[in-house]
Amino acid sequence: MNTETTVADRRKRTRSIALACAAAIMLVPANVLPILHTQTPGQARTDTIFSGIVGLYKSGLWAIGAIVFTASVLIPALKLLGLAWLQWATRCGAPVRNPRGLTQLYSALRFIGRWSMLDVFFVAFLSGAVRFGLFANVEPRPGIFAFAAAVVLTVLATAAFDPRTLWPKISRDAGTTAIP
Amino acid sequence: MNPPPTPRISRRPNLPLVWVVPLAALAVGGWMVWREFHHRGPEITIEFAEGAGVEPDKTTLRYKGVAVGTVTAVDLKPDMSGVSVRLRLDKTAAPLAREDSHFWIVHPEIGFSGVRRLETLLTGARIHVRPGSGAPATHFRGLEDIPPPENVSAGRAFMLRSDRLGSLSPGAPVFYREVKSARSRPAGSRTMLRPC
Repeated sequence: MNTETTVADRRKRTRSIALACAAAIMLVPANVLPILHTQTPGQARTDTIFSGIVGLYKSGLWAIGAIVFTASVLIPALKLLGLAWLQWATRCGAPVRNPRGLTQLYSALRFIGRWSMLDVFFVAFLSGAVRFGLFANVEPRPGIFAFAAAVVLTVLATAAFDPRTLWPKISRDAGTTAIP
Repeated sequence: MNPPPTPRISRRPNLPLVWVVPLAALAVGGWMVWREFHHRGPEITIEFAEGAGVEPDKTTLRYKGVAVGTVTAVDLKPDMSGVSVRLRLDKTAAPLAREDSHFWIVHPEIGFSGVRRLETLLTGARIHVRPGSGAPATHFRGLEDIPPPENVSAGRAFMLRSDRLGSLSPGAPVFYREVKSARSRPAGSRTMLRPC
């Protein structure tokens, strides 16, 4: 099996890894900093992603809480883990095992990538729609920008990964050229 | 036919430009987190006899009409004699927490002398502060009543004695020739109107 890589391949790998690292870094302020501030006559609260999910669950809206948890916590984590797995499987000097399954993983990652923006649109819509002065008010907080940046970076990292590196390479010795 | 030109081999290791992105992410993310925690001011504790209307994350501390802090927790004192309100000040408002600073809870007032502080009906009770001038402190005993205004810039303050109360209450207006010319104010304790 020809496991040589070209400079262009290595560039692509580096790009994907660097973007994934940036996404992982941005997920820290996204989860630590608050994303939303809601104010009603009953109460005012400033929420991070986690405290917002807990708040939704406590208010009885556990279905919405589950959706937010899936979109904002589960999917970004799974994307980064899936990318790490793909990068590990295509590391230099190792034959790729189960290329079909890994390619399916890659297309799954590409598909679910955009759904993490659900939370960002949720906050944006609420901030724009709920502006009733003292009665009800919703404002975004800095954490949501970090989260949006993290989602965009995961999408870019997934797009930068070349799935052709997953394909089995036919050895030069077998008489045919390597598939580029 | 000319031989193809020899390729130029560069031995310089060049770091791909893309690593700027995670470095920028580190810088921006770190700055965001730092800024958030840098703007947090000190946390102070105020003891009140009653904490009616004071709620965590909702009740704000107001000074000169501006919110300068938020209540983080309201707990009963261990000996059940009152409540202990923990409050986090904004960083810019840290100088308000001095040794002889006074804190009091403000509720809506509806009485004969007029209706005041109605916005607290919608926003809930608020805590007001009059900063002192001592050393910075973190533990305070809150006032039970609104203190009298500190400086009467115009006019003079008088102490009146009478045989009967005449249904007066703190805040009752004083009229001269049917024109409201003054307003009685609580003098800092409930014993302002004393039978003599």
